[in-house]
Amino acid sequence: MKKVKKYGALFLAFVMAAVSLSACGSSNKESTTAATSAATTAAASETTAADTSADPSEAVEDFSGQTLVVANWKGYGSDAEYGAKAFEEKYGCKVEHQYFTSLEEMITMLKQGGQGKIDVVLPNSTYVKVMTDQDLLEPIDTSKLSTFADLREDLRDFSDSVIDGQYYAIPWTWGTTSLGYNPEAFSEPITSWSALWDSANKGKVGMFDEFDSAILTAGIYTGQEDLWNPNLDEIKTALLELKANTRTFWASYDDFLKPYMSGEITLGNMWAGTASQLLSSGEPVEYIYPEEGTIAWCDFWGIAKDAPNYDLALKWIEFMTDDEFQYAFATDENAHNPVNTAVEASLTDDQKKILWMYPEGPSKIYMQKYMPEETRSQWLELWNEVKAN
Amino acid sequence: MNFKYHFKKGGFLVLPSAAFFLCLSLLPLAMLVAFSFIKGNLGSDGSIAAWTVDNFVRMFSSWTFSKLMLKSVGIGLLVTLICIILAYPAAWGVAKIFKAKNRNTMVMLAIVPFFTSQLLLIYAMMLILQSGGLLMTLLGNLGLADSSGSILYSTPAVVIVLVYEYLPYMILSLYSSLESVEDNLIYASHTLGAGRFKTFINVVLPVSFPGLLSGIMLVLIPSVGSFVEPGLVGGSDGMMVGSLINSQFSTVLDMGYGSALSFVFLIILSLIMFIIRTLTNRANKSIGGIA
Repeated sequence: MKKVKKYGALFLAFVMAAVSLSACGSSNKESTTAATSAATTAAASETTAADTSADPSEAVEDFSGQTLVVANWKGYGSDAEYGAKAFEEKYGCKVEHQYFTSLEEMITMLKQGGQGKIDVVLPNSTYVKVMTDQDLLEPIDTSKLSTFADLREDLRDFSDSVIDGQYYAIPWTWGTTSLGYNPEAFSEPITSWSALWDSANKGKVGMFDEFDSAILTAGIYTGQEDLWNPNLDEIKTALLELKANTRTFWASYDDFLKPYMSGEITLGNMWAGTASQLLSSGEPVEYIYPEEGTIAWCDFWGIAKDAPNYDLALKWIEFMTDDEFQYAFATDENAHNPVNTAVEASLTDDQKKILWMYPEGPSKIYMQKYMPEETRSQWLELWNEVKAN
Repeated sequence: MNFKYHFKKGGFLVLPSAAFFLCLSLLPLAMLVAFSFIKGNLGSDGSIAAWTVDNFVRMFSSWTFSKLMLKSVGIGLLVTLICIILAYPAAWGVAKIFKAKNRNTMVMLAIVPFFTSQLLLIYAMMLILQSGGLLMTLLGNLGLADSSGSILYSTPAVVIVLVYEYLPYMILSLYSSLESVEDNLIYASHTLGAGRFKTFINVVLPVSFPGLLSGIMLVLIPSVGSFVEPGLVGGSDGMMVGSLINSQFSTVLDMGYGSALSFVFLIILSLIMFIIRTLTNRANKSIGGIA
């Protein structure tokens, strides 16, 4: 028995050593094969790039040897085949991704050693000002972006991304938080936010438990002049009335689906993605943009301060907003709204329906933007007061 | 001299647990109290903006916290009461009525909910209670209620779910102390002429007080601070104080205010536990139990 144990232990140790050594070995091999394949694709793309570039008079610049560092969410378009890979082939460079799991993390990434290493970042519309205030973004030379004129104006000229005529962020994709309802429960289609406040819908509303969209929605409904500086008393009264109609607050998709399926709630505010998920679960749903206006969010590309590859970063932004990428992004299985107006127009009716852009998108959008901490605390306090009432 | 010797002999063995207790219990508590005096959130580099008592002023300048605290304590006490009423017969049954060989199986059955995640338990309850679900269809068929409505998304639903989640704690605590009631004591009390009720009050109850107290602590404190259940099944009027504290930490990142709320919550609950303990000790003495 002792001998079995002794040899058994020796064998185990040998196996573990062998495994760890082989792992070292294979990773070395992997990097060398990667380097050689990169070199060959770079060489290949050099010759093909000139041939495949859309504008023959403008040769595609060769960025071989450069590595673009992109900071983004994992699995969000830029690391797809039609994203980073296509870009690498087009410009002969390499693309490296650094992923974050929250916007706070993105900022920490930059402040703790990322500056000078990271080239492009993806802030949300609420974080652009946070970044510009902390001097984390470079101004973007929009004259070099061929897609600049194709961008949706209301997104492109977002107030927080333009400072003194300089653009610090370029829109990439966007979405809305709007009204969804069960068409089978209503005889007439809904067109206005007032449906949520209608006493006929008492106890049938499912509200999103997020204080800023709740207060912004109440602001749109009560017709506030400045949604981000509303009359808080009017908002509170409106929200209390809304609460009387509300059956439950939802925080995640499942919270909404359950009572919706059993018919306990028939309308509420939601993201376009939620409506798509409901549809794919077999539930009838209509997602509309009320006439008073819709709240929207947008993800922007920005060039980080002291980016090592500024010109390549500009090419990246151009690539991310051009027809090819935006079309692929809008028609892949998780359809994302394009910001490129040419792509928007080229979508078929069915594709537009999937994006809830049929017959057309929202006419009036209120883009969620930066809110100072005191305002956020104030609004949360108001929301908690309403909920606790 | 003796004392010194004993200390030398085994005193240092206490160090690991003492260190554990210090780092995982006392230090975080001290940090909580310290953080309740800072303004806003800690900076990303750990810096503190300012020291202030504003957080406490803010807490009591509106009725939100006090209202929610009162409501949460009320719900917690209700849940505890229902748990006590349901758990006593169950614990007594497991401890005394079932044959000794079945006892372990019974205890296992009582612990089964612990094997499942808390969220799953809540969803299971929701499935049963929801409109068109098990309960409502049954009531609809019996003609007692409309099956398209439901009790979900209201405070009773929160109470039901909390009782379902915390009943095993109460059963186990009571079981552990009811098991120690000697059968001879009960026979003796019967022999001396006490009926079943009097036996219960004067013999069984006092012996079970330690278990009762720990059961109350295990059920009351989490119930008062719960925020997942009110969020999922409480409906629009179901908010409890836990959601308020949670929103400070996860939505606005206002650590100062959140810590202040937690600190006051801690004090209030300690007071409640102190009152409950004093009352049970008084009751214990008056019934004539072992002090």
